[in-house]
Formats: sequence, structure tokens, C-alpha cells
Amino acid sequence: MDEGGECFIVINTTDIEKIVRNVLYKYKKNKSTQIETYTDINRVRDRIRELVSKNNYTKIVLCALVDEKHLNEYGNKVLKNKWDTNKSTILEEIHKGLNNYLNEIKHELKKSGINTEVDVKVGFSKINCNKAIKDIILLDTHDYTILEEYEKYLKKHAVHPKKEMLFKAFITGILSAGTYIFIFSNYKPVFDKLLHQGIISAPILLVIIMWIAFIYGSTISFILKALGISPKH
Amino acid sequence: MAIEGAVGYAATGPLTVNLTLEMAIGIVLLGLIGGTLSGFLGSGGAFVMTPGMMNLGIPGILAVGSNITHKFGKAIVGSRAHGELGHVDKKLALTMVPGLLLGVRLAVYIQETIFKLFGKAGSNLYISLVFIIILSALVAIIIRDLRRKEPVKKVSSKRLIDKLPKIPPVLHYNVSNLTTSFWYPFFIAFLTGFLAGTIGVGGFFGVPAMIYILGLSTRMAAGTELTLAIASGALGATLYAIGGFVDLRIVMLLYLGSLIGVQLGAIATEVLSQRRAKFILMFVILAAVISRAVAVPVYLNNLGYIQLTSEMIDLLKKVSFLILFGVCIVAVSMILKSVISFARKGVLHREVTEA
Repeated sequence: MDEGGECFIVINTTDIEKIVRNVLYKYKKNKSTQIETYTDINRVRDRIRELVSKNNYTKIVLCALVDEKHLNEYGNKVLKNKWDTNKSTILEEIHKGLNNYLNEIKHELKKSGINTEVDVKVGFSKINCNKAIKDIILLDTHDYTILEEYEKYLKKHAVHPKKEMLFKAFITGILSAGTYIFIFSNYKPVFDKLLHQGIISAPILLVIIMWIAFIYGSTISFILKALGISPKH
Repeated sequence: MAIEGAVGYAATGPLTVNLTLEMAIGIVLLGLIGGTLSGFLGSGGAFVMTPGMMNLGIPGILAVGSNITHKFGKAIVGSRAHGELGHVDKKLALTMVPGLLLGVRLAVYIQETIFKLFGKAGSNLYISLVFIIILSALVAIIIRDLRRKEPVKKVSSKRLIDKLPKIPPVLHYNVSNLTTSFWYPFFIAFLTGFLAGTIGVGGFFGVPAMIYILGLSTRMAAGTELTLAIASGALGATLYAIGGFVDLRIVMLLYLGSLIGVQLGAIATEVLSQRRAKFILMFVILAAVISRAVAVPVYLNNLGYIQLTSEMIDLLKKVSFLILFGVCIVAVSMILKSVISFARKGVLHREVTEA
């Protein structure tokens, strides 16, 4: 690669080879293009540092690209019917996460004494390239997908559809109430005797306890989820 | 208030409680308070629930038996959540189970023996004294921690376990990346089990011991301890149930409050600071210590070691009850206030986003 000019580095964070290849195709005439594949996202940082220090670019544009179509497929698979309710929040989080990641790289470059102007961009499905760019470098993270990184986030922070949660709370609530009423109203004649039969009383007790903890615990959890105040760990 | 004459005990039969509405409401409230503290602080529920039940007139041994049974169900739910996040070292938990069960067995044996020899008052006195000793030490540790201006420099706990001689058999645990003698986790588990069997809670010892002695991460220690709590809860519940020292109704009433409290307490962790959490925990534990200390003369009187007038006994019972419940209600109100503000913020955020 020649020295000087602007470099456009695209970090492919989802399985969007087709889109990125289109970007490259659009600009490949008269442009120096290269595709490199990495399985480790941390290796990408090292490679960017290496590329920038070797070439005397006037400006570097660091882009992270997420394919919205692929994200939709993935979100539907992981969250099923909860995906639509959570989509905007999750896109926002992914955008924030990728932006931080790129800014960290930018900061590292500055820290290592590289004074080239660095711009960061996060795009969903498309990124507008400056036609004046000299080199386009695609750092394809291949096996790594940002979605895998966010899978735990997707599962833990999901906002649950209110109606579904209320329905589940209603069903488990009825079962819980039924269990409480049945045991309390039959305690003296049935359970008091049943639970004081020596060794056989213990497994009966443990099964009842597990059932109550499960069914009543679920009721509370569904109600809080419906209210949108369930704890995030 | 403590209910006189609510407890009946036949020497050969199970220990029973004549459950009144007043008592039932008190147990649900205790569950809510204990659950909120557990959810907020990670532990602390049993510090309040066992002494609180004793204040309501439930014999100590029945309170411990019902509490450990209640812990069993809660541990299953908590352990499942930790397991899904990969915070449980199953091999380590399996290694610790024998020590844990031995500890629980010994604790239950001591409890039953004291109960047979000295009756309800002797058992109550024993449980109260254990609570006073253990919880006083815990308050001292928290005060020392709060007075420290700078955070403690984290000493690599791996080094601590590495400094100890590797007595065979030496085992390697992949999940926690730990190579150590079988005996150290065994003894930690033994003490955890002994405390769980004696006062209904052992995690407050087990979790810090796993962090500082074995070098586990906080999350891994909490997850592994919850898995162990299933075993100690199951054995404790079994042994106490065989002895007739578990009342299913008490356990169910505790759940009624505690499972709501646990969730609310967990939400509060997102709002309140760690320092504030420690202050709340310290006052709650201190209240439990004072409450038990105030009740000790009553048990000594019942055993015939000292003579108190009936007015004095009533006064001590009332003071013991008010100290514990008063402080706990204030603590839980502070936590719940933060939950309400969190919920309001959440609703506001949703409204802004939708607009």
C-alpha cells in the first residue's frame, strides 16, 4: 500500500460477508482492498495498530458493521416472541458496545503515539463510505459474532411481553393459591399426620417444599416481569 | 407480640404450634423482612427470621428446623439461576458435600440432645447464645470494614491456599481453576454445615471462606454455596422433620413473604450503594444480637437459674420483640423506598422512549 491518504477499516461483527463484499465491490475499482479473517476479536486490535503504524494515512475510519437482517434472525431465535418488544433497546446496547470497542482502539492508537486522525462509525446493514478513501480493509471476525457476546444480555435484560407474563402469573397464581388453601385446610387431618411419620415424612416434605418454591416463586417473578421491575443480575 | 401458651409439646410426639392469625401475619412479615435482606445483601434473612420466630413464641428448635427447610427451596431456585450463568463449580460442591452433611448432622444431634435434656428453654438459650456470639463477631467485622477509609488491597487469595501444605489427596477443580488438598474445602464445608444446622444459616461463613481461603470469585463462591445449601437444606430438613421439628405451615408462611422480598431486595441492589447496604446489614444484625441478649434472662428464668417477676418477663419479651421488628421494619422500608423510586424511574423511562 502507498503511503498517505484515507483508510477505511471495516470490522465485520456479524455474518454479513455479502454486504461487506458489496461495499468492497463498489469501491474496489482504483482502490486497494484486502480482506483478512480473524477468529479472535482481540487479534483485530493488534492488526489495526500494525496497519496504521506501517502506513502513513492522513485519516482512518474505523467501522463496525452489524447486519440487521441477521440480527433479526438471531434475536428471534434467542428471544422468540420477546424479540420485537426488545429490539430497539438491544440495538441501542449493541451500538453502545461497539462504539466503546472502537473508541478503545482509537484511544490505544493515540496512546501508542499514532497521531493520525481517527474516526469511528457503527452501522447497521450499511455504512456510507467517503469516496475519497484510498484503502478499504475488511477485518472479518468470521466465527466471532457480536450477537454471541450479547446473547447473555439478550436473555437477561429482555423485557417480557406484559400480557404473556400476566397470563402466566394468573395460572401459577391459581396453582399457588390452590396449594396453600388445600394444605392449610387439610393440615390437621392429613399433612400434620403425614409429616410426622418418621423417615417417610422427609421426602414428602421436600417434594411439597420444592413445589411451593417453584410455583409461588414463578408467580412473583411473572408479576414483577409484567410490571417491568424484575431484577437484573 | 409473643404469644403465651401457643406452644404445646408432648415428650414423645412432634413439636406443634397452635398457629393464630396474629402469629401467621408475623411470620409472613418476617419472611418479607428476611427475604428482602437476603435479596439485597446476599445473606441475612436467617439472622432475622429465626430470632423473630422465637420472639413470636415459636420454640427455637422449631424455628431453626422450619427455617432450614425454607432455605432448601430457596436454594434450589437461586442455584438454578447461578448454574445457568456458569457460577457453580459442581466438582468442588461435590467434594464439599461430605463435610457439609457431617456438620449438619452434628449440629442437629447437639440441638436434639439439648432439647431432650433441658427442654424448650434450654434449646432456646443455646440457639440465642450461638446467635449472640456469631453475630457479634460479624458486627465487629462489618464495623472494621466500614471504618476503613481506603478499600482493602485485594490480596491474591490463590496465594493463601497455596501457602497451606498440600495434604493428600490433592484435587484439581477446572471450573474454579483451583488445585488444593481435599481437606480445606472439607473443613470449610463442615463449619458451614454446622452453622446451618445450628442457626439455620451458614452461607455468611461459607461464601467469604471460599473467596478468601480457596480463592474463588465472589460469584462462583455464591453460586457454589447455594448449591451446597440445597444439600444442607435437604439433610437439615430431613433430620429436623424426622425429629418432629418442622412445621410445614410455618415454612409456607415464610415463603409467602420471603419470595417477594428476595426479588424486591435484588432490585434495590441496583439503586443503593454497597456502603449503605453494609450499614443496613450492621444495624439489622446488631438488633438481632440485642434482641437475643434481652431474651436470655427469660430462658435462664425458665431453667430455674435466676428468678424474675412475671412483669419483668413480659417487659423483656416486649423489648426483645420491639428491638428486632422495629429495626427490621425501618431497614426494609429504606430498601423498599429505593425499589419504588426505581420502578417510577423505569416507568418514566419507558414513557419517554415510547414518546
